[in-house]
Amino acid sequence: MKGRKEKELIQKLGQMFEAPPPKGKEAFLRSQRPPKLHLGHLLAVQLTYLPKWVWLLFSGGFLAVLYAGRSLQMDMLWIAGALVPFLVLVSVTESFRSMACGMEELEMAARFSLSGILLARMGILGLGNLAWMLGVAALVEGRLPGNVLFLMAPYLLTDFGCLMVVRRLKGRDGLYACGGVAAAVCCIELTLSANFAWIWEARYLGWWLAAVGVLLFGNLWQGFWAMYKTEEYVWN
Amino acid sequence: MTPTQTGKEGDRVQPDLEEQYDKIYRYCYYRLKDAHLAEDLTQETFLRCLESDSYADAEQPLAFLYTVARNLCVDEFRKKKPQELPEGLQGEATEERLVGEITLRMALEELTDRERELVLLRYVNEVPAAALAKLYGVSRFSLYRETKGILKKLERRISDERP
Repeated sequence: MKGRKEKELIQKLGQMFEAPPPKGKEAFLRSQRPPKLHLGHLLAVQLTYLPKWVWLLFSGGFLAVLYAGRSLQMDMLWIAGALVPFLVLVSVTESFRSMACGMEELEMAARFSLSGILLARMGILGLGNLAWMLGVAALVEGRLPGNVLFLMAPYLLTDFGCLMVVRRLKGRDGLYACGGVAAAVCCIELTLSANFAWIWEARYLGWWLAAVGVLLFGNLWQGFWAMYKTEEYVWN
Repeated sequence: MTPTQTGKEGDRVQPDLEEQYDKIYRYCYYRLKDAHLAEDLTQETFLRCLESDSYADAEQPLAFLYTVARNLCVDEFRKKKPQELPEGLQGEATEERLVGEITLRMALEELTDRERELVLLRYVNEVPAAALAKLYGVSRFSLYRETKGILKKLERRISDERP
């Protein structure tokens, strides 16, 4: 009873202190809210942060494959397959550059989360890599889907290795290890192309598809844990 | 100014700007009895707090907010006399409700300024006890006793008026 009386009194007290509604509230609150940033803006900003030499490297690699194939009469697919690991190396090191330079905490304090920034960078570079591979695959003789699979396999293998490495090794050690992974996959590609050229025949496309499927799953798994690991940074 | 974490009463939580705007405005209006001025000072309060490092580091950000608001109101009060609050009661009311409101208003007038301010902050603006205790420089227990005492005083005054 006493509690109820007290509640009624408190309710009536609220009416005693009523004030006329404020007129400038919405305008003031709007002025204090930071403007909303859209995904497009994030992507545009991250695109400008990617160094120009990355795109020059991609273009240079593409031209090198073209030159090797057209002028030197070498197998473009093998050359491209050997170069693809270095595309991945550049992409992974650029994506995780803030961690190598110790800047990830600063990015955590920015408007977007570190994982959002990483995804944006990886997305932009991934699209660049995909365009590169599709361009090469279209120029090489043979069926386009098959050529894409032949290029995706070393790409995904290098990507898988690099993601495993950056999750475990911080800073420059991670970058050097990624370089090692890329070099190893390149060597594997060149060795196989020199000694086991038959695996690139059309009848083995099913195996290539299975390998790409497994590697794609592995990459998604590693990518998920790499993003998850960014959440271990507790800012403030 | 958005909540960085949720917590129990007394935890260090950054007040939400939108939620506190009305409450600080009500407090300023209570002190100055001028809606336009109250709004100006409300916005000035928030601007000063947002620019202040002390606010960001404050143990009790709400207490800091009300301290700034109170100081601004005191400065403004010294500059000009506030307008009298209109005595008229708003809206349709039964006779019993009218009598009840007049009684409560009279009971409030009999309180001291500090007691009236405490009623506004604790029961109307629902400022947490920890922040209020910090604002007034008293312990939470002593604040609790004081606010309960004020409520009892008001209840007694109201029941004395009833036939």
